[in-house]
Amino acid sequence: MAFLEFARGLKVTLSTMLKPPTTIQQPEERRVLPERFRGKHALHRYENNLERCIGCFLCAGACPAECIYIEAAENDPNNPVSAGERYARIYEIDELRCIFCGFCEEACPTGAITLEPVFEMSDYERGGMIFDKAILLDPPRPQAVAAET
Amino acid sequence: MTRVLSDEAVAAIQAERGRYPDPRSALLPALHIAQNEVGWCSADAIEDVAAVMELPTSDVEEVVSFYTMFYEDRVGSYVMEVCKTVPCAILGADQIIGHIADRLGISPGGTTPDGMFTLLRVECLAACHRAPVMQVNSRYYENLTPERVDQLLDLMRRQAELRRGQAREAPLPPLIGRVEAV
Amino acid sequence: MAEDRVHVTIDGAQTEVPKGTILWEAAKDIGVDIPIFCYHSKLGPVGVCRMCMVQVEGMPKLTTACTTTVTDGMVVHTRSPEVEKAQRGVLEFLLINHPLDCPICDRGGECPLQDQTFQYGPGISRFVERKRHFVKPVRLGPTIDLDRERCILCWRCVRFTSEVAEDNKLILVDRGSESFIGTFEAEPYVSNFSGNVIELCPVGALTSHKQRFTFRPWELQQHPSICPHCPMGCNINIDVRDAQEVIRFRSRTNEAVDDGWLCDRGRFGYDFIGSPDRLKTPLIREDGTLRPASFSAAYRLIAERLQRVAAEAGPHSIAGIASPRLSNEDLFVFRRFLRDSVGSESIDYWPRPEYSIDSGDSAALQTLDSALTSIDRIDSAALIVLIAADPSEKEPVMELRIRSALNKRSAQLVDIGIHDVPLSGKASAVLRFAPDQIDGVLRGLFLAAAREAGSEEFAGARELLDGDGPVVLLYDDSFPDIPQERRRDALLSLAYMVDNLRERRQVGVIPLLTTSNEMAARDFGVMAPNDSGSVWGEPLVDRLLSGDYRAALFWGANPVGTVAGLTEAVEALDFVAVSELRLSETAGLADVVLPASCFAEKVGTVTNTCRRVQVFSEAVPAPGMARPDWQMLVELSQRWDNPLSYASPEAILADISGSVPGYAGRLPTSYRRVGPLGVAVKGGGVEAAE
Ligand code: SF4
Ligand code: SF4
Ligand code: SF4
Ligand code: SF4
Ligand code: FES
Ligand code: FES
Repeated sequence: MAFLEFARGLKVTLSTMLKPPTTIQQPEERRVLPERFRGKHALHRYENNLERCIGCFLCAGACPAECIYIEAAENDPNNPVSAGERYARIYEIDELRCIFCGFCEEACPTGAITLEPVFEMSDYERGGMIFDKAILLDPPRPQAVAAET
Repeated sequence: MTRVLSDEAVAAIQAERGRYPDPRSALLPALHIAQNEVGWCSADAIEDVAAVMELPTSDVEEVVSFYTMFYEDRVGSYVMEVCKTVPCAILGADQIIGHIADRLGISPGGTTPDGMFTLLRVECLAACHRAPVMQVNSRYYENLTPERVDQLLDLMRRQAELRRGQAREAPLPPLIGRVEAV
Repeated sequence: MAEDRVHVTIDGAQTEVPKGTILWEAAKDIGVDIPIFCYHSKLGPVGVCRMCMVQVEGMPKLTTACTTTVTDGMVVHTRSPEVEKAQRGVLEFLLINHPLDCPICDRGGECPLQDQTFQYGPGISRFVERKRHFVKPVRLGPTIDLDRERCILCWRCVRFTSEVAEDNKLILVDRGSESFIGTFEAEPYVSNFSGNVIELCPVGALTSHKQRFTFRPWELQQHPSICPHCPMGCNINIDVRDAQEVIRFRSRTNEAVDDGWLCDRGRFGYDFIGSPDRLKTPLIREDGTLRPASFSAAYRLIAERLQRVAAEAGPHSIAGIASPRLSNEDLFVFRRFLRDSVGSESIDYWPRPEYSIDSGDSAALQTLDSALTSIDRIDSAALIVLIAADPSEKEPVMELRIRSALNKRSAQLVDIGIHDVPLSGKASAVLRFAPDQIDGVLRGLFLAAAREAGSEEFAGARELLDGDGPVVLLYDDSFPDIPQERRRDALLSLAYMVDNLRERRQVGVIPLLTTSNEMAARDFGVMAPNDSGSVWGEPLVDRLLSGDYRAALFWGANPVGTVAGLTEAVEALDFVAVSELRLSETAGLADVVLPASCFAEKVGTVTNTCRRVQVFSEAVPAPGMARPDWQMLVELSQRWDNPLSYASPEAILADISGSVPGYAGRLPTSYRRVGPLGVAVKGGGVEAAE
């Protein structure tokens, strides 16, 4: 009886030994991420370069982790930042607190914020993980390979 | 006391006030008196009327802005008031307004630089059965089409030529009785 | 069933209401929610929005609940299919020209149009044509931004200016779908009460310019509080973002005080709370400059120096001057600290009326005090008399209360004073006199009213005084326009006439005071007594000028800069300690400055002009090391032989309610029991006079 159990266990071990490994050599090797992977946030612009975000706080209101901080301000009609009357003067996401649920993306009425298939985020300090508008709008880090669509 | 209204006008307004149980009801006749004298309801005229009527200026302004027969700006010799309400709108009032605007080179609410024509969009003129309708200086022109409008504009121009030199305030003789006659 | 009550059935529930009740109010009373836009309990019904359609059995068509008065036996349905169809229709129409602004609209999140569309609306819009457009936003005035596209033409703002504030500033311009809210000749909308239309507007058409885009309603925490800007004591909510930043004050209706309104001074007066120049640490003067220090160093220095002065020149040479904007707790502890710990009776508040009342005249003060009435008594007055008083300047919301009493309840107003005030236009009789004649006028008038001989110029006012019904007198006991030497006489004449008048009529008085908690400063004895110790003496600030004192404590008070010659007098003192919110002129001369927390940063009570004690709560943290004044005083007193031992403000409240005459027995001993609307500790003079 005991032998039977032992043999069954060994079968699993031996058969796994013969399969190729699941782990890959990140970052030399890259995994193709699923299309709807929710990773690092990005803020977007319209074609005319105006920011999509209107500073409405809806994403911050939807966020269960309360990691989005926004301060809104009025656009200068002669030199607008976003389309409309209002824009986000400050927009910060604390990526360390974020649970990547995607609620912010769902709440946004203008499609300004999306979660990109990027998971490589790290820093030596916590402060660096609070992404501000500059980082979110124009990501400085090399983009990882995204799913081919 | 008043800025622009003559003593006679003030007296006439006072007389109107006496005719109503609530003197406030005399506001419409009072504004007609003021507009006849000043030509339009200027801020000064409104303040005068308010003073005589013992009402806040803001109340008088509300009434002036509500009724399209009170002019909030200077108007020309011919005030073309085109109805914009539903029946006329359905039968092409916007086309008529656009046509007049194109011909005269002004937009609704504007006056030609020569001070001859003013184009206004107004509320129902109560002649919906012959829509679209326009009123020019208290006369109705009905069943309008762009062609009829052209004829009317020419007529008005010719009439103005004839009247050149006459006092502007003189009442305009009727252009034509009915539009069908054009 | 009483004659004046009627039965009505709403959605199957029976209720009995007074005759003449508006159907909407009757429904609200039994918890039936009928959606409204244009109706507002404080404004007359107009029935322009058609949102409140209900079905009344026996009526051929739907009717508006806001303009229908209930009749006996009425049977009403508010949720029938016809009603729901009408509601959907009204909302669809309202939304035809309404922009899709919710994400950027300051009202979004607390917007009745949003809420009611969600609850009763059609869900989809069939309107595909172009919407009407206006330029937006436009400045309506210094305080208000107007977005004409969002306006649903409910007229609430217009009716507020014509019925409540009565300045007729806002109007409906033009007609039909092109109507918009504006002012005469597009002049700026300037008013003492403009902020109220922000709260009245059921959409985001009228929004605050100052608060524009600074918040979303759902992220604000509300803290019930009391407006600190005048002794009216209007109830407010302090709305705070992130537990840090005060975003706005909103009215928190208290029928007994503010009737739901605020003035602009109060509503927009919150900048000082989070101001960057607030003191964050104690400061001690070293080599002529004030430098940050620890509390213990500051306390040690204050105690040392005051004790030395007391040893050399006696404790009474230490003067204590408090600000009447401190809370009841602060003022009470300030007085106890000076009297019980330091041993000084030299205590006063500033600013205060600049005259003194002798002990021989104390009966006059008692007369006025016993006639003190409550603000809501204005509503039932037959006659309201202003005596050298301008409510619009001193306690602005009082003006609205008086206007409403005059309009709704056919009360009459007599204005006795030196010059015209905003309310003069509403007066049935106006009496003007030269500043030095006030006492003669008051005596003469009321003698005349007492059917004794009087001169003809008083005839109109006399006739009114001679009538029946309750009288409310409002007076300004600082008598700002009266020469200083006549002020005492003026107060005595006033008391005399109150005494005379109340032999025949119910009389209530309301003093218009200057600073928010002035009533408590007087009640707690934070007012220089005269030599016999019972009534107002000469202001202590004036006596500082004559060099009678060696040291002074200024607790929130800042007389330097206002009182001529005080700078030199304060510089000449041996020692000056100041507790302040920021480095005031007085604090600039001090040896030690303590950082105090303001009303929004602590719990406490204030006493309003009619002796209603109301609670404010902590809304934001104090900057840096700033502490409540009572706490600093208690800590400081530990360095004397008679220390104070209060562990919490509530302990002080209990002590006040146990020991201050008039408060004892009436003031509950806990904040919870004082309640959100406060308690009147004395007053009701109109009844008392019966
Ligand atoms: S993904 Fe979720 S947790 Fe992260 S910022 Fe968006 S809403 Fe917040
Ligand atoms: S990202 Fe979208 S939801 Fe968030 S503030 Fe900007 S517009 Fe609003
Ligand atoms: S601005 Fe607001 S309060 Fe005034 S009419 Fe329009 S919706 Fe009503
Ligand atoms: S009347 Fe006085 S208490 Fe009321 S809001 Fe105005 S300043 Fe504040
Ligand atoms: S709709 Fe044009 S006249 Fe009536
Ligand atoms: S609330 Fe009744 S019609 Fe507007």
